[in-house]
Amino acid sequence: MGAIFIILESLSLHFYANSSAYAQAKLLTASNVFVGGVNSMFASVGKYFHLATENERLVARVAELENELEAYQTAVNEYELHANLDTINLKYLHTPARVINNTVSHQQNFITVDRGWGDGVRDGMAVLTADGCMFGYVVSCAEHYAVCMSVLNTEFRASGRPTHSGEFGSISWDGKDRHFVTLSEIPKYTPIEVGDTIVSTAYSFYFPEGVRIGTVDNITNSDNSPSSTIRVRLSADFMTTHKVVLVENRDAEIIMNLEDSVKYVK
Amino acid sequence: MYQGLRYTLLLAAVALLQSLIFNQVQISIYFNPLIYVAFVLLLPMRTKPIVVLLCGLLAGILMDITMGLVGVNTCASLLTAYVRPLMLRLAVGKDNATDGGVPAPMQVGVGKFLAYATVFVAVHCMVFFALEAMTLKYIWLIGVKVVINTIATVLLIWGVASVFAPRNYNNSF
Repeated sequence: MGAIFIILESLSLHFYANSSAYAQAKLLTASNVFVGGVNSMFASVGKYFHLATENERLVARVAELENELEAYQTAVNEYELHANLDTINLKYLHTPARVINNTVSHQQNFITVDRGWGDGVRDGMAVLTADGCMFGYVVSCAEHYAVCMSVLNTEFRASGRPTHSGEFGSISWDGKDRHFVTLSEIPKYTPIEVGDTIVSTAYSFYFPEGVRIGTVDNITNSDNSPSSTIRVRLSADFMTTHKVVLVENRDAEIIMNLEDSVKYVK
Repeated sequence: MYQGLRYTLLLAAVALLQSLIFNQVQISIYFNPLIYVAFVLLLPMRTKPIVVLLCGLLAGILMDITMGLVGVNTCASLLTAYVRPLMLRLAVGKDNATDGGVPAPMQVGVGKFLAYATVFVAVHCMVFFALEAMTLKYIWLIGVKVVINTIATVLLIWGVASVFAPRNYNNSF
């Protein structure tokens, strides 16, 4: 009896020790084939409780984009714009999706959305809220579902910088509070104040540049370190978000292949 | 046969409650009750240890798949299933523990049930949250989670036990 227990416990510990966030995402993707439909049904009920908040955010975002479009239309010669519209190679492609499962109470949190490879979703696509805030990125796809690593996952990493500065640091979550992430490795001399906005940098495969992450809540400087540790209040509300936008960087594969080929030459 | 069907339904019910309700209720990062442990906790006291261990394995694998946590639930469930006979003897008493019946409040008494369920759930929560955190860096955070979720889970299991094993229900597996 004891021997059977030791064998079974050792096996489960072996699988646990060799698992990663990606292995967890793969497992969730497989289970979504069975429970995705049920989760989708429950998500449909749950989203009605947050419709008002979500609509407010969407209206604000639409207004912002209308203003942006207006600015472009005014600035660019109308003839040139229409003449070149068909030949413009868009770098980012946006796909709307619905969140059907989302956890915030674990250390490794994942988000399941109702779009998969059958809908053009690929691993590595960025996940943004409807109002354009950082939410996560896709790590595994089934035909009609995708599992995304949430910003609230201790293995999540992204680069971030203050809007007014080129100095950047690493964004991570320490697993303690769902409202805050940490921006580390920002040089001490960077001019930064509480309330400043933190956005994504251009160095990410997943996120377009300038995606809003949050605002500076607290800055900690240590005498022993040349860099500051900044607590960032997240802009995305992980409890009430039901609509997201998946963003594909269409150059990501080319860049990755190019970088791999350079490593191979080295 | 009838008993097997009852426990199959219990496993299905607690697994559905866990994955469709308690995994979805995101009140706080500290609140994550693990009601599915009721399946092993409420097995008849006379159940053979190997059957209890296999039930723990089944429940653990099922919840690992639905939660996407590789091995975490299985490790915790196997350990609690293995030490369950010892917990029953200590909390409920040797005679009662081998007498059969479901270790529910109506059968063994509220005090003994609470003692048994609290130790059982606390051990499960300790293993679950320590493995889930993948680090002992935030040991106080793990401690707070263990305390909150042990209390919440025991209260929920009390409710499940009251429905599953009403007064004078007695059977063996």
